[in-house]
Amino acid sequence: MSAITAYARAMLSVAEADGKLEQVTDELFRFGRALESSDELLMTLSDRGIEAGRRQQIVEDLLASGASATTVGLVSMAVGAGRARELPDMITEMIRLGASSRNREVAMVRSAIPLSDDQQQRLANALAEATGNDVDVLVTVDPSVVGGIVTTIGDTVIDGTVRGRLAQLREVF
Amino acid sequence: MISLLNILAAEEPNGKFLPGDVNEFYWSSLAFLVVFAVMAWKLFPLAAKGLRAKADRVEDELAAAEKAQADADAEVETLMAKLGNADADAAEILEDAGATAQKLKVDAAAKAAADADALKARTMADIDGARAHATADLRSELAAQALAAAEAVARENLDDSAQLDLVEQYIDQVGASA
Repeated sequence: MSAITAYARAMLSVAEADGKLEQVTDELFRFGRALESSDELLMTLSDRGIEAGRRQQIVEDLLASGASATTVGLVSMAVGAGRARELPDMITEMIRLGASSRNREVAMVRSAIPLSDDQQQRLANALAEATGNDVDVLVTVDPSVVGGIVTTIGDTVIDGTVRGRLAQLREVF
Repeated sequence: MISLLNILAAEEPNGKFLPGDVNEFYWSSLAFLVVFAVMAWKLFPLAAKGLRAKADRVEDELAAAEKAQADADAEVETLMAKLGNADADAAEILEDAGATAQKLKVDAAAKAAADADALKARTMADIDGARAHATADLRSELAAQALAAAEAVARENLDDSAQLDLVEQYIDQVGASA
């Protein structure tokens, strides 16, 4: 078992034990995407030249207002252990393990605009019909897609973004 | 004989054929004969032997000279023959050198022509490559600019309503693909 999988299992166990799996999963997913999109934040949290306590304090300052204590604690634990660079992979693995334990699949969705609960539910239903499995939808707002949605389920990518269409045009050229 | 003649010459002439004292003539003749006999017995063989040895040496030297002459003549003939061969060899070498030079000239000309052809081919290939590269770069640059413009236009025109339409279309398409 790799360190990433070990941490993912531990994070999943803590979230389940607190009875906040869905909320923690969503918060971790959003934090993971934010970490991936910010090199400065990633470098700061993974900089061993900064004391672990200081790095954990940065995490708490960032998440305290918008995340549960469980989420803050899990992220702080990983950052304090010097695993900030692997944190996005840990979160993805944790989400995959959680969904798998419930015989569900996870759809990572990037949208140019926030999706309403109704839209998320309809998207989850549509993806469930398309894949034949129940699907948990995790949405992040990503203005870089310009417009539309791109969904990743396992190794499958369903790209309906303007940026994706522009990329297809670039390949044609 | 010489001694006898000297003795006779030393005497004063007495008007006769023989000297005045006949005995002296006899004794002198006897002494002469004794001396001559001793000389004939001991000296003449030695002289003859020496003469023969000298004659032999001369003969040997003559023979050696003749042999040397013969050897020299043979050597001259050999040298002359070699000289003749040398001339032939020199002519052959010159002929070979000429043939080699001609072949080298032909080869060099062929190689120069081949090198020129290869250089021309490489140059043409480089030109074609550069042209294709420049064309591709230009096409890529045009595409990038066109796509950037398209993205800018899209961002400009994608208001909330359009964004919602895109989301709804996406959900419908995913559902329709089931």
